Amino acid sequence: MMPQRIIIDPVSRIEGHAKISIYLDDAGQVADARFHIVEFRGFEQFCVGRPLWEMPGITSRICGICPVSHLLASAKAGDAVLAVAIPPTATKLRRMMNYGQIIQSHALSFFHLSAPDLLFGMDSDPAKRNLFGMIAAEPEFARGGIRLRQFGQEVIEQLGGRKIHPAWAVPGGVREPLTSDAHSYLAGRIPESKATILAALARFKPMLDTYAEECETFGNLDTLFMGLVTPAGDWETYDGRLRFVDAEGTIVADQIEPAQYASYIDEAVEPWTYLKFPYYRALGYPKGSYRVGPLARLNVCAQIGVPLADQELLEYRQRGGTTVLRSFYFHYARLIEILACIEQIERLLEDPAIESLDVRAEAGINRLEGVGVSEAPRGTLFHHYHVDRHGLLTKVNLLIATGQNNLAMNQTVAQIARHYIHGPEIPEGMLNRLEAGIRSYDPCLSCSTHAAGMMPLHVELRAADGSLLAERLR
Amino acid sequence: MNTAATAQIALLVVGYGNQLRGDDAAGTAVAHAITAWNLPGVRVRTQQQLTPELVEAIHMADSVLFIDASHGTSAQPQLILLAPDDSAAAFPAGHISSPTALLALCTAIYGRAPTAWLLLLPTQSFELGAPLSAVATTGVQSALRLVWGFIAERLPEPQLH
Repeated sequence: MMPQRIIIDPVSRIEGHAKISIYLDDAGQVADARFHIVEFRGFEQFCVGRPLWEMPGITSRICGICPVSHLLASAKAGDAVLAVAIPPTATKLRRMMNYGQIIQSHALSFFHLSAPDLLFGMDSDPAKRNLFGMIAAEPEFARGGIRLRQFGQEVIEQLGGRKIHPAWAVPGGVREPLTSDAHSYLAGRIPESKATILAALARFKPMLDTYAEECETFGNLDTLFMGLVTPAGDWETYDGRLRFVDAEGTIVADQIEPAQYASYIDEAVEPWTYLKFPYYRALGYPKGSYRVGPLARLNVCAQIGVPLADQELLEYRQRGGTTVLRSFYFHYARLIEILACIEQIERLLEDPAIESLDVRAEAGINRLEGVGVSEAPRGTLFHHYHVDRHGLLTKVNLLIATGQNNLAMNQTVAQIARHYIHGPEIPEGMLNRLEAGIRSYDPCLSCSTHAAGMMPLHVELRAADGSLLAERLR
Repeated sequence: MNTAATAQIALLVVGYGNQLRGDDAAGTAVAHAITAWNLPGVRVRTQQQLTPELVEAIHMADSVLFIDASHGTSAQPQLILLAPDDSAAAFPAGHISSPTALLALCTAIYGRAPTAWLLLLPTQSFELGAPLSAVATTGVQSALRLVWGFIAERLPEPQLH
């Protein structure tokens, strides 16, 4: 039998545009699979020549889902260039906005994009397996998800003046303090938000049994994990230093100053995708595959540091192991992080200094290079700028979370394909599992390739000689 | 600043578009001007994109006016009455949605959607970093006159504050 290739193009319910190719061997078994990113936007190039102070506003336009992540990483790179320590309240407010960002992005991923698969089943009718179908079947669950995401957006909006692309964080701090009205409003939304996410967690946990097969085959991988941690090794999303752990949970590199990221991470390129392949330099490519994002953050930290989320983390580790290798657990980790962020916001709102008006330090260009890092919803985000004496950008490097999961996403596609595909047929359930496997990473291809657009699904099945044998589009 | 929707209001105005992309900012420019009118009973939101949770504000309004830049060739603003659309193409999965998909989502969750219109504005250029073109600037002014009349028809004696 002639070797074959299956292609899924475009992949749906993720942010951006991609395609999946599956190659069959002569026996009709999966030989390889690839996750292609077919867009290119070039943000790094057109930032060159722009003033440093414009960068938070410009780079936050990379994505409509995680603008705050770019805003904060950019502002922090600016802080480094100015060589300033920003006021403590500005740090707290930036943290709060990042928590709001993680809540809204994770809520979108779980409630809007992945919950239809989880509630109705991977093999259910695609016509009902969407947000409208979920509203019809589970109206309170669906509305709770929408309101939870709205809460995250409102945190951003109350701080930054608008919920998408707020140009509020700037090199040196933030433009505006937290108002008393905003403070009261956000505090009033905490109880409902907490109740919603606790209910979602209770609803999700039994699904680990329902989807036991998917747990074992959706990216159950032996990779490294990377994320920010506090000096004590706890969960961190805004400051801190980098930690790498291996699949056994052993710390292989710790307390790495983020500005030194290039000493630990290198990037490979492949001719069949625009998305680069970052890897842990010491292990080389592709052995140095590492994952970032919620799964990684819960793997690298000792604890989260807030009571309810730490309680959930304990159960999470009882279910999945101290170091969780299954990418299906990204969903679970996302829910725990939403809870953690709500608790952290609650804690910040109780801080007597949170309404301080001292939120910005003024300075000129004091260094010609700066690195800013934050934990975006999908993982660690780096902005690395070089400027001239006038503060004009001469070189920009953006290391994006989704790109860092690229090797693992490709391995995930291959693992799912090998488990579910036997021969040239492309059954709907298999198609959906391939997508769902990718969706567990919640990839943001708008960010990682800096491309605009939405992502619907295209699969191709090809022979090893390149001839197209079957194709599915939706 | 966008304000949180906590009470029923007569009219929700949603101006949306990318303020970095030339005339794509026309909708938000009209929304900002309406905000400055400070009309009771009117809540104004400016958005980069339409997002699903906007239904929380939509269902709290008796009427909704979406304002967007048009890709068409009309030299004048066009007001279009909208109907909910729950077709797959309108599915509001992520951060890019449409007014009709949001109305469908609102109907699905709350059992009804307010009467809604889309005001499309004339445009000429969507270049990165460009200001509004002459065509869009004129269109914004025409749109503001149209919106004032629109509000006057629906609200009792709107007063500038």
